[in-house]
Amino acid sequence: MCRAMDAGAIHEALSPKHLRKQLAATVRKIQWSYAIFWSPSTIQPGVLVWSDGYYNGDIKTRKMTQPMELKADQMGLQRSKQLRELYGSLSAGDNNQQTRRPSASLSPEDLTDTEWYYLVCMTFTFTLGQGLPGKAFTSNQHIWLNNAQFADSKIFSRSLLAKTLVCIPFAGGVLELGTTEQVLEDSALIKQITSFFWEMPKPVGSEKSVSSPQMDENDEYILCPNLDNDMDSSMALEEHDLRSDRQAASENDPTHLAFGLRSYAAAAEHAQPIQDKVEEPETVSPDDSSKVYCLTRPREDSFGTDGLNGISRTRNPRLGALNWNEYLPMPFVGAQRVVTSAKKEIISNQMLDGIEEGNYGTHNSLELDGDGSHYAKTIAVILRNSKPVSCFLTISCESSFVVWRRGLSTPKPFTGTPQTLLKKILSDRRRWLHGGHVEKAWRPDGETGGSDLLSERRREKLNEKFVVLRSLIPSISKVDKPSILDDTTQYLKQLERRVQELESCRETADVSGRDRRKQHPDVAERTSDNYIHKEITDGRKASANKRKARDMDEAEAEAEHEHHCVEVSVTMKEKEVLVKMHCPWREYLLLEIVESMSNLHLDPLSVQSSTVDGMLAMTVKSKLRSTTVASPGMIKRSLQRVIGKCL
Amino acid sequence: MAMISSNAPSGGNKAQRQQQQQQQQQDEMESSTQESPLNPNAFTFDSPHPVYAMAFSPSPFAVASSCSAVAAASPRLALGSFVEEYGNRVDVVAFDEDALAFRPDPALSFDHPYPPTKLMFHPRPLPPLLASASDSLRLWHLGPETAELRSVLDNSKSSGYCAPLTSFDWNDEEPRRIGTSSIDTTCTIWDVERCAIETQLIAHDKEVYDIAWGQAGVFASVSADGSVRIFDLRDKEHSTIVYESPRPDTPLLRLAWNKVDRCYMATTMMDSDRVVVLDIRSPAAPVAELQRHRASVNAIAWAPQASRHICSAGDDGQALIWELPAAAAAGGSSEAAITAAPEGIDPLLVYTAGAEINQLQWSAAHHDWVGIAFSNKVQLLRV
Repeated sequence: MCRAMDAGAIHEALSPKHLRKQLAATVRKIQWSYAIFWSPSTIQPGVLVWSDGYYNGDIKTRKMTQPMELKADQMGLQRSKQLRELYGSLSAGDNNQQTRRPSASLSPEDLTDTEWYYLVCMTFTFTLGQGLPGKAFTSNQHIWLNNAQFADSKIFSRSLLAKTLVCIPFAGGVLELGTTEQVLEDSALIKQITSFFWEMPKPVGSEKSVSSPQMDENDEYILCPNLDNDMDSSMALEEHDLRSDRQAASENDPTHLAFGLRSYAAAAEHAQPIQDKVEEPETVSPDDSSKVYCLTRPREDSFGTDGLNGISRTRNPRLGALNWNEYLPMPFVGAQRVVTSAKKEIISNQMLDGIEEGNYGTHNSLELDGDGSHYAKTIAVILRNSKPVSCFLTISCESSFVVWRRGLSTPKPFTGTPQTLLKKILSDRRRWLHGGHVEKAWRPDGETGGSDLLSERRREKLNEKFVVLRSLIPSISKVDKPSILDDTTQYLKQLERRVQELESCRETADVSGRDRRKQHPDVAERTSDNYIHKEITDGRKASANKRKARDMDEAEAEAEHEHHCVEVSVTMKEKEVLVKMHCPWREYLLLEIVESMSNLHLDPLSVQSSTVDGMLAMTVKSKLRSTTVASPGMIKRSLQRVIGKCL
Repeated sequence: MAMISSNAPSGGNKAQRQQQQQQQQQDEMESSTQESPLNPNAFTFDSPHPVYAMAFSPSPFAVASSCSAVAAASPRLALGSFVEEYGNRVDVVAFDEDALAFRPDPALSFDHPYPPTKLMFHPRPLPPLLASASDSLRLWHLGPETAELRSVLDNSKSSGYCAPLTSFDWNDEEPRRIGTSSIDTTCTIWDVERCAIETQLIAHDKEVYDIAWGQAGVFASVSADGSVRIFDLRDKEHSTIVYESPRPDTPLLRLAWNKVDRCYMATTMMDSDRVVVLDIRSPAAPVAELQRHRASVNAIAWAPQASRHICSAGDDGQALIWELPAAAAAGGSSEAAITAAPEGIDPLLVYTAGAEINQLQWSAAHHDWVGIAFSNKVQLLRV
């Protein structure tokens, strides 16, 4: 069947024997990617169909059927022929699968992107005035298209891959040349192409003489002689073609000539032409595939799903058909809309309960959808031809899920706090676990209960502050809030009295004592930035020095107010608090100091103290247990109060 | 609903069956099942509370046999409420696949202290145990008549304070073992039968957010420190870091270990729309990053029956089912090709719930059901 098709193509050509080689020589000469000759169909008047082409682009895999080394140009010819055969095999269906298969020496996974494009081009037909070739044909003027991949689908319906396109009407058809490079319009080049094409005499030999000096193509000089040398083998190919030509002539089936139409019809009729290919990898897959498949529910509409899986770039070596998919989307990297529309197409087909022959017929003749639907159909044909690879996620009509596709309508964009509940579950647990307990503890006091989170948080804060307040008031015995407030009031009054008392005393206080005291706040409030261990050990020395100084002072001012000898300094760095004290010793003083520190949430780590001549010198290194509670000033005042008790 | 607690023998008596069916129909009327107007194949259960924790039973309990053959094949769900205070509930709900209706089982529902962070049934159908985690790990026996607290596994020895548990996982190969993760940076492995701690590991530098068993003696955990670590109980001194979040200290919140192909696990990050899929054989870089969610991902679940399918759900209200490229079968070279795919992997299927999906479970006993929870609704989705 594919033979017949090849033949059909060549049958249309003006000079079937040499057309392909002429195309080959031309396209290689200007080093473009491909050349296609579109010619009017003999079956459908007014329609341009693929006549022949030559592929000169990148090649991914070469399948060497012959052991002998082929030269570049001949490989090109062979490649073009193989592509043609592949197209035939893909679109033909499974009528004569067994006989056809070996003839197609290329399989879809061997193709590069450009080759895919070339292959897809074979499915196109153009009515006069439609599409680039059609327009060029009717206007009889060449059309040069740059940035073809961005072109509007009305102008250039195959806006897939080639960047620069030229359609030149001549010889009763249209010569289309394309390249993946960006080439600016050059009428000299067109002239050169046409003249070259015409001038090229029988077979190829004299090409050397024609090569134009303005083209900087050294390779040509190497390539062209090769072409001569390899004529023998390429002749063999031609004979082959001719033979099939004869076969084709004997067949009058019209479907063989309108490629697109035939391919869709074939696809709808014949399923699974590449079944064997799919099964190969499947048998190779060792373990888990069976698990997957045992859960499948084969369905009629799984075709569509498979196609879709493919296009959504699921590459799955185990599922043979999906191998292709690696290549299918590639030509569309720059043209996403094609993929999307392809998907839509498949989905709609699926919804229409399978792909109907008729659908394709109409779609094809109208070509209204531009290349998107055309391409989709081609893809659908190819994928449909593959075996319905049963993915366990076959979408059943009962499924809650729908097929994902890009740009699927999504609900309003999410604006809230991300992962709210999850974060509450994970991070906030400590707080609300605690919160629950605190809430219970305070509820008897008449606090409004309830689960409101905000009020709970506020309550917690309040409670914390009450704890702080409580720690500041020495006389507090009860823990409930009214008692704390009562005691605080009492204590404040007491303090006020004491302030008055002290202010009256200050008149008589000596100057040096005042000075010394003035210094304290500075020291006390200082928050050392580089407070390190060394300083602590130094601290002992410092306090020793101070003690000496104090001794002298004391000796001089023994008769003075005792509390003037009290010296407290607090240094805080983050959570470490260093307290240095110097004060008259009394019973239980140490214990009380530690107690009051504990009230302030200070956890003493080390205590050094000595008593000389009734004076206590003490250095306490401690750690703050809670973050918010105590400031250095607060600690200092609290300690002074403890010391002051003895007065 | 009364029939669930009734002990009517499931004999071949036709009249009795008819009666049962009638009763079932009644139950349907009573139960709060409603079909989503948008999707006739998603079945919604309206809970009186917001729902977070959810678990599918491995298969029906013995009690179910008292109902009918239908009930014996139906998925069952345990649903934990999320109320931010002490009093919470765990409800047990059966889904009748034939009648396509939920049947709550009030007899088996019970009060729970604090919202459970996770619920999980015993991996085997018997004994009918349900584990829950909140302030401590609890085991509940769901008897035919009532649910009763079997034991409280609590490792707070001295103080009454116990670091809350963020998650746990029941080892399905060795059902004696439950591993819990806690905000106190530890993971605790419990021997459920003896109700004793088998081992406790300081697993991470920060809070541990999730834990998952890979084998009988191997588990992995994720943490606020942004790492995924694998622990082997045979060598407790060491752990292997198989992944670290790209931005340092981005907490990893959830972890799911592929039960079919143990080479793969998936994790999610805080405030991230990505699902990171890891191959433990190549710890350096993730095998795939699935990023088609429009908002942060909240939950992930591997397909229980297939090696390369995973479902994820997030704040965008979507549940996506993905098929990973078959990296495992093809070996190392193709793996590189997969991660190199510039535009990433597209999901296969999508379900749109319309609200932030907080929870996602894929029933191991009934592969074609995925359960999701959003606000106070639970939906069963047919895959």
